[in-house]
Amino acid sequence: MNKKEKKVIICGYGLVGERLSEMLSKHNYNITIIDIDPKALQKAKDMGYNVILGDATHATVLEKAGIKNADALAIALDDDAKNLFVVITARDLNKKIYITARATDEFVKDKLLDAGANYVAMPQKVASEEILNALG
Amino acid sequence: MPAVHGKDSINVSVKLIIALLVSISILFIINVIFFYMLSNDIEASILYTSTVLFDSIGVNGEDYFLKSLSTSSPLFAYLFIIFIIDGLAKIIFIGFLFAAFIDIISSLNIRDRIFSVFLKKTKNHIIICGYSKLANNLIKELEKKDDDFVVIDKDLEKVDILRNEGYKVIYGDFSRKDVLMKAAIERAKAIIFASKNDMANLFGIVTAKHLNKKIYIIARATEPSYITKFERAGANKCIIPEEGIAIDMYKYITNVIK
Repeated sequence: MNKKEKKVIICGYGLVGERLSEMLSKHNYNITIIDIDPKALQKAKDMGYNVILGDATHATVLEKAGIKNADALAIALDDDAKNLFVVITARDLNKKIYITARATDEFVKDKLLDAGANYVAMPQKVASEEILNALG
Repeated sequence: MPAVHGKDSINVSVKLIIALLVSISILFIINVIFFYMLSNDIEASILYTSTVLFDSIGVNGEDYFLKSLSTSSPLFAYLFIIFIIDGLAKIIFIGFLFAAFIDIISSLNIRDRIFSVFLKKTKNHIIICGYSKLANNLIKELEKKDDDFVVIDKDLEKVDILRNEGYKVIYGDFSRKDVLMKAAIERAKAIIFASKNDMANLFGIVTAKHLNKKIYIIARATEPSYITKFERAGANKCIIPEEGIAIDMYKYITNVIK
């Protein structure tokens, strides 16, 4: 039985976007990368991902990336305000999509969840958990 | 820091001079008013008399001037000199003394000294270098676990905020030997370099390893290429928060869409 390929859109091909797509691609996910920087996008293209050049906060760019029939959206831009913008725009375009975004602190996390994100990852929280585990 | 201190001193001096000029002007006006009230007894003009009195204060010539005034005027002039000028001089003198005293106390850095005495008893503590968002999160977690920790940061504003919240904080550059010594690194069990500055963290790791061979070193890196450098310098564990995020998001996505 052939499983239908799941479509994931990743906004931002920085360190987070790169690692995430690397891990997901191993599990047969169809990955589309959106980035405003052509250099970063070329790197993603070389890896064999679908790429869209543009600002992910714009609805047209998200539509071009196929947000309407995507299963998940990972927003990994390094600007909280932009991440929030993308969450709002994406939620407007697709009510069913699973949205995960990064936030720099608790205050932003709540905003992102209110705006329609399903899961918010916080770098310092993840890192401090790792540090505490290492300390024992 | 010395530049800021210098600028502050200039500001203080300018304010002091203005305050002195204002005080003298007020006294002169009071003087003129009193002489005006006594104007029937003196022949010279009020403004002239006032100016001569002001000018003669502290100089031998005042006796000659006072003698030239009528019987009621010298009394006022004497009182004026004794109560006002003398009082003002004392206030200025005490003010200077007080300012000098405060200056000496602040230069002694009593808070830091008491703190370093207190730190002498600390052992098996954790040193957090650089007050970043990661450090802030860590502090909250370590507090819950009742772990003893000291924070080092070179931003005086951040140091003040943390001190006011009751944390143990050392002001200084964590890549410097003397600063790490202040944090009692020789008795610490672990040190965490939480700054976003990879180079500063690398310097810190080398210094920390040199001061305490047994200490457990955790360092944050902003990019993977720094990890090998950190490990070579002596770090036991390296963390890139962004990688943690990618793993976190990956876990979520693979969990919801299978």
